[in-house]
Amino acid sequence: VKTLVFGGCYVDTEHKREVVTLWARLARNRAPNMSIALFDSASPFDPLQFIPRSLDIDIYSFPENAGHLSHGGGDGAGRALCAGLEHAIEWEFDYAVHWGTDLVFAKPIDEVIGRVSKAEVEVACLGLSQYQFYVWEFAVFAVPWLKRTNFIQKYDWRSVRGPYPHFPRPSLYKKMIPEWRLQEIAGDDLWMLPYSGHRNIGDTVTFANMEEAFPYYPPVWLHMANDMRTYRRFLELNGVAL
Amino acid sequence: VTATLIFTGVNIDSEFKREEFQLWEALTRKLDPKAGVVVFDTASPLEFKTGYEVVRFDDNPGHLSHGGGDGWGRTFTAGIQFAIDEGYDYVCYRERDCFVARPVREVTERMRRTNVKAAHFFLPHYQFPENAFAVYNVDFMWDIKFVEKYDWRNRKPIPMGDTPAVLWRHTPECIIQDILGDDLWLLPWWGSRNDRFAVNYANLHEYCPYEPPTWLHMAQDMRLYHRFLELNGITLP
Repeated sequence: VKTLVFGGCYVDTEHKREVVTLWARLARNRAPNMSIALFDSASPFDPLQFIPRSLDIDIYSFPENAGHLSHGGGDGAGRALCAGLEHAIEWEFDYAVHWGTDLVFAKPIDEVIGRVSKAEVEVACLGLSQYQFYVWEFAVFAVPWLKRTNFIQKYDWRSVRGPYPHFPRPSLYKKMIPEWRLQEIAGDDLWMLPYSGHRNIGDTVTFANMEEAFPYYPPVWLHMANDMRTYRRFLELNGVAL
Repeated sequence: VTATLIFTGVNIDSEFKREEFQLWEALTRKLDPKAGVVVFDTASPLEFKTGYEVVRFDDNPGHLSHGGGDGWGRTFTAGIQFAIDEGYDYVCYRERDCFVARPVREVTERMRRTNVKAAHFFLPHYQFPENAFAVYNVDFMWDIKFVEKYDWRNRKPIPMGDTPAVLWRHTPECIIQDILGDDLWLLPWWGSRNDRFAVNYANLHEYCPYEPPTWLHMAQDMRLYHRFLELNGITLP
């Protein structure tokens, strides 16, 4: 089974540089024999300069930063997602794993792919406690399914631009919010991996309270930790040494 | 043709539970008219009416979280064994107080398109999945000897207040997750287990702003169940 692991980034602060470097080291640790690609949106801090070459990560640079929908720009995250999926199709991978660069993930990727291939699941993402939509910052796609469904064309990252207008009803936002759009395209083929984790909006999880927040076992994933100590605590609790 | 069994357990000891079960039956008849349905009755003190087949237990072993035996586990494994013995293809457990706005058929079709053998709901507020609604491939449950592994008779009361690691070994949701292992998948249908009373009939649409919840567990108020059905556009006779 040939798997591509990829993420997108825009690095404009020292903190983000540290986070993306951690991502690169963790991705190589969790996917030691897989191809890993990073799609950079013309960051002020160039990943080609700060990602250690020894990690053997393929870095691709867009000529400009498309922006972020919630900040009034374009769908830069969607562009990186589609670029990775296109890359997986072009190079005939079997699976593409979208792994956001501000998300830490504890399981070996071959274990995840084993689960997905055994169940013949073609698209899988993670559950999210705070919202009605799901986490696509870690998602697995079967590449033949991507081709068959014209997923990239249907997503059409250029079709939406921020900022989100003021709709009278939240349900109307579904046609703009990337997570909802992805869910709509995936349709009945979508399944969720039963991995416990958290999108840390509001910094409710910290390095000090993580064990209490996840009493049964350490979180399998953590998104938007916003604090390097929290990321490191995550790795420590999961027994991952980089 | 795929044969699916839906089963639930009841212990009707209040008017509310009787009314709740009547609504459960009406919803099941509307959404899954062709499924086989069996109701396991744990020696209910009150009588109740149903058009479905009823399997009656002679006693009530109690509930693990209330210091009793694993009455829930007895029903759960009895339903799975029933599906095995009767030759069903899929078996769905839907708890009496768990309302789902979509037919079980949609889940079994989704499972048939893949090789997914076990499907539960995602439970936002816990580290384990929701098992008030679960769909399984019956051959798979036979192959992994689920009923024997769960072994409801040897389940001990949950030692509330003990460490999470101990609780994990005693909590049915966690035990089931361990038995199913890598074969467990979650359905991307959003809903709520209302054990913290976060949702009520007045705030349900605000709690789920994008679209109505697909499922609701432990509503504890008939008005909330009716509001759930209303938001999902379901009218029952």
